[in-house]
Amino acid sequence: MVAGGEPADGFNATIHGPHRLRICALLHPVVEAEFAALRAALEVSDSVLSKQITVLVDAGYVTQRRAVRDTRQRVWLRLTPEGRTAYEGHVAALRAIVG
Amino acid sequence: METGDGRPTPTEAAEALAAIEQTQATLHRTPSPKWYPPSLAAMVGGLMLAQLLPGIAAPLAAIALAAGTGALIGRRIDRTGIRPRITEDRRKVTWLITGVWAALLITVGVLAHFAGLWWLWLVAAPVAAIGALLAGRRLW
Repeated sequence: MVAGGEPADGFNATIHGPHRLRICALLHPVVEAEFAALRAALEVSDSVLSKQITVLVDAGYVTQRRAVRDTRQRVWLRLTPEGRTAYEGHVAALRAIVG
Repeated sequence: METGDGRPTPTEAAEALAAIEQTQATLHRTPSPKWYPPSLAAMVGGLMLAQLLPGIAAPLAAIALAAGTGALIGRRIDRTGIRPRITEDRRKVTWLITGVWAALLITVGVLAHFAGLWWLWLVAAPVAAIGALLAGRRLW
């Protein structure tokens, strides 16, 4: 085990939840993405997305930035360096499991 | 079905990896606003044509158009909700294209100033604009 209670091989139970895995998959190749863009790509409701993002934020894997555009508040999300490392480790662990 | 310690079976792991690929593919399908490539082309072409302006107007117009290009890229990010990460390959291509534009700008500038071939700006503008149109669709 390593800090954070995750196995040393990179498998990460926090990221492995289906929605959270897809959120990380979307955030990994970009600098940041807006909440609405994630919701559209994942085809989930606001509440489902919010709940899953909160888990990732609490784990320190995702940060939120609020910005106002055309009088509308928008939330931009990005993977933290820890989140990026954890996601990459998790994907490597999945590949190792597949063999 | 997961294994006893909560880890996925090889089949589930393969499904998770497939889900990742499928999800990331949606990023490539995110449409760029239709106005973006032609606007970028107009800015870059305008940068060349601006050199035909007399005196201080030419560099001022160039600065305004360069700022406009930055604003345009920012607007596109706002519209799509995605700020792309510049990968190393993409960075290299971007520098290459920027270098070609700079070389074109300098070469035509020298020929126009010292040889009186001012009309070369009229040729350089559409060439640079077409480059921006293609790059805007594929890269930025």
